[in-house]
Amino acid sequence: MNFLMVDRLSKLYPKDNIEALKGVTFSVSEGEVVAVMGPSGCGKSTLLNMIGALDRPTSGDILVNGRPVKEYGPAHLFRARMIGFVFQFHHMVSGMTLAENVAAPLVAQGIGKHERMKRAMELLENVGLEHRAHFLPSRVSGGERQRAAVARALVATPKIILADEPTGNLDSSAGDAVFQLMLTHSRDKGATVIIATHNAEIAGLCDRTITMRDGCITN
Amino acid sequence: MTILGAGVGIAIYVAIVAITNNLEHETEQIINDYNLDITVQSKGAPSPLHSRIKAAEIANLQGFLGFRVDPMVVGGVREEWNSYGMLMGISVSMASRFGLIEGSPPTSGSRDVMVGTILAQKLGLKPGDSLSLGGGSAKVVGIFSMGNRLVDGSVVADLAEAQRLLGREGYINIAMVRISKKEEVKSVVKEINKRFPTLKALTNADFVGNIRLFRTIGTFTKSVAIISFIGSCLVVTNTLLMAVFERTREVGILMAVGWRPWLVIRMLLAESLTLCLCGALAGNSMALLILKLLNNSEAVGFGWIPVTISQTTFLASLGVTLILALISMIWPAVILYRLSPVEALRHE
Repeated sequence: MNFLMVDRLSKLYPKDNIEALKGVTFSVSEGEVVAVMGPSGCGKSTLLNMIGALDRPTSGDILVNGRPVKEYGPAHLFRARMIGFVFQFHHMVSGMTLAENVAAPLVAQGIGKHERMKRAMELLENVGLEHRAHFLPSRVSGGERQRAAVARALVATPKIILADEPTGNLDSSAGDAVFQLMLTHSRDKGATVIIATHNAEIAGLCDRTITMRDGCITN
Repeated sequence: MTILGAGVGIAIYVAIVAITNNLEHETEQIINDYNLDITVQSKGAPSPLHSRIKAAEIANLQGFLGFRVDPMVVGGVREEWNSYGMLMGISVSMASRFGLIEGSPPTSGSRDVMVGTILAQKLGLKPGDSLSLGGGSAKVVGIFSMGNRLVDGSVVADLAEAQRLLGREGYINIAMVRISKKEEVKSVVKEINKRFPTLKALTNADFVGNIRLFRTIGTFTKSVAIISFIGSCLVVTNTLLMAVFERTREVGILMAVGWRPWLVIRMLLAESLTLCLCGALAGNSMALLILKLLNNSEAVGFGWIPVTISQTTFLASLGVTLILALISMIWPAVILYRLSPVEALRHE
């Protein structure tokens, strides 16, 4: 059964009159790792934002487990319970330590501080950053920040992980490490992973690749 | 800088409120300490200092009441030891109500004076010393303490001598009345006001509230407090807006991981409260410093400026701070609430 179904999804930005997505349709099975490739501006990030309920489509539907996303309640709750995001530029909150950053999704779920920090520490240990837990993001390397960002995406055990160019800002070894972390999590927990990437090597390691151009899927 | 900005606003508010409240409280205390029931001043006078009651009117009042009233003359003297010194003239019968701690009270018809402890300490005076007064020199015969900064910083002379020094021969400022039957106080006040159209009699409880000068000062205080409050609101709002602007992308991250807008607003509210609370503490400390500096300033005179902040004033400043934090949050909160996660994440 298809776990995630994207059905005729369109996104028009009326201000700039740009149609970022033009009737995109595809489906992904549970636990599948999918790469989305295509040139810059082809709509990869917009697609990920729609799936992650960060933005609303102009038309079309996104179904998770056969239910439209809007039926999961407010968008922030859907994100908190179902989605883990990894961004290209790690996007950490500068005033929070790595552990606090990793625990941030659990705040949204109303989990108590003790439990939050316990789970954050477990995840940091998994990504080899337990010794950096109480460091501010500015005091660790870019690769370490991105590993912490992956830990943050995984901490709430989401069903879907959306990664927008997660290795784009890293050297190859750091990039591989970050990708392997997501892959391992997917294999262990059965999470579906969708990675927007320009990296053909990374795409080659995924179960499937979707190619986009000008807001449409070309294969 | 924000803490300092908010602190300055709160310091102005606290210092002004402390001075005006203290002035009212001490005036009220004087009346209570003298164990009086009714005070009489001339009608229309904005304060006891401006009141002028003729000797003939006092005689008529005493004739009506059937017993003696206590006259008092009070005014400012400009001397080298205090530009705004306070001189009080009282009858000998009233001198016993001053808490004499050293020496004796001035005798009737003498040019001697007694001084309050604050003045005595400031000038290092003791009985037998002399004090320059009204272009001449007065002998200090006693030192008193009423536990009231306004009075303890003043000079007390015999009524006639004070009238001469203040240029008020034939006049007094207020007449003070004690009634043996306390239940008759209100009816006596009513009767005096009816029979003497040039006089205004007040019960103790109404005395301070009826001083027009205090009402004017109160209005001025409120105006300054509102202006400093608005100024502080603008400073804190500006800082919070800057914080929102600088951290827009971080707000986007938190929204992306599932934080609802209220959680982000709550975080900003905590920041606003911390800023304002620190501002309140800084403001109260600054206010204390301002009061101490004013109390030592020759231009203002000494004795009447409080050098402490009452618990009520401190708590009021915390209340004002809380309101300040909440009002300053409104605009940034609206911006945060309307922020879309995608726009926030794209923010440079």
